[in-house]
Amino acid sequence: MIALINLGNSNIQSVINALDHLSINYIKTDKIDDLKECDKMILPGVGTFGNGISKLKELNLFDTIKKEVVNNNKPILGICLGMQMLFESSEESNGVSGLGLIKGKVVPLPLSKKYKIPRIGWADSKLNFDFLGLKKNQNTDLYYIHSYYVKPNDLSIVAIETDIQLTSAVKYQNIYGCQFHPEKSHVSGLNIINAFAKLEGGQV
Amino acid sequence: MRKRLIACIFLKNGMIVRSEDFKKHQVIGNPINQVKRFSDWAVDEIIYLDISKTRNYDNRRDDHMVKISSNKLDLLSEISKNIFSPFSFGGGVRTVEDIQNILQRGADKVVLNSGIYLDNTLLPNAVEIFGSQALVACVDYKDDYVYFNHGEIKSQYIVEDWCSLLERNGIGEILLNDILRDGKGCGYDLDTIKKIVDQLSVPVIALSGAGDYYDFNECFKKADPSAVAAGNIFHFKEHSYYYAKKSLEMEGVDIRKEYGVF
Repeated sequence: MIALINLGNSNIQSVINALDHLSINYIKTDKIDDLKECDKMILPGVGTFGNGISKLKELNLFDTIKKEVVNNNKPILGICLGMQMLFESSEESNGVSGLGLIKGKVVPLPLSKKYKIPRIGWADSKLNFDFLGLKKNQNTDLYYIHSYYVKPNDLSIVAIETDIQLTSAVKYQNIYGCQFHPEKSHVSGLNIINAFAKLEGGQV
Repeated sequence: MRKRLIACIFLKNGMIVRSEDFKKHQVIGNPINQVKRFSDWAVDEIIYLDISKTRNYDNRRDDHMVKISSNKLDLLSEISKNIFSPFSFGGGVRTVEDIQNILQRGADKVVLNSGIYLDNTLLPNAVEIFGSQALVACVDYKDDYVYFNHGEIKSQYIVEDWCSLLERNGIGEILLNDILRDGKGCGYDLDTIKKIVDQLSVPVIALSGAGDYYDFNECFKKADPSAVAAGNIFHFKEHSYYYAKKSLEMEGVDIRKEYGVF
């Protein structure tokens, strides 16, 4: 069973639609007990980094998520802001500590001729290694909508890159993060969610 | 980042309509059927604009053998269950609650228009709560002036000034719509589009004027928007989205080369 973490913000419905479409077993939840009983978690999110983290703390989920991922080895998939919150900090909300499951920080997108900001749309994305059903060296178009991006300290965890080598997905042990929206990336994206659902779960 | 080709769907009282001059609206189909087709064609993105002036939904046609929704938000839920590509929804959005309701039903972005003009706190408040990336402003203009309320009220704003104001207030994207080209198929308003694209740092989507596939190519080549959108052309020509994409690919425009099945 996947726990789909509900921060009460708005875009969770598209993840729900994707999970329903794929007939994946999940529970939409903001309860500690559900996180303990699930074997995997999905952390979606929109809005600012500071808002997302304070929501996690308000719901008392902040420490539970860390514990379930680190101690019980449960796979977690962070999507967009959900991925950013896996890191230590963000320049979007100075002074706010993230979950810190991955070393590194979140910074504003640099100006580039390749995109406008917010960076919205489909981008050719290159696989550095196999990632949730996608294969190394494969290229695929994925859908992005963001103004900040993650900079991991350890670049060897970068699974997918786009445009000017922006980090698009990371994999560190049982932790998966996507800056793009798999639930909005048509067939390629649905395959990623399906592959995550098929991973072996953590300790319940 | 690829250039996007966006299908724009005008809804009036629950049905898809073809629009011309902002006045003539011919009913051409059921939005639930259409969204499945667009999903099969792997469209880059869809923008739904509800241009109803009343809240009465048309429940008469049941010949499509699919459910017809009785209100805007139910319709939106049905749409979002059937597409796994980005879509925006707009029309009649006046409050932060309206935005919340639309996003909660699975839309990625909300299109604002007259609401921003009628209440100057709406955009800054919405940016604070939902973030710029969730907000698109549709700018309807005629002869350089911006119009509101379905093109009925002429404002004192010229297009450049209004767009700058929107950008300063945190809008995420701008949808430019030339009223005089609505339904005319005479090509995009390249001069205005280029001017706004050069002036702003947020993405611009060009709408109104596409009559054939070459218009998309010309708009990208001469005005360089982040996306082009069109409505009627995708309803009246067989496999039009596919052919439009193929023609852009042949012309060397950097688009997503995913063609789906049909």
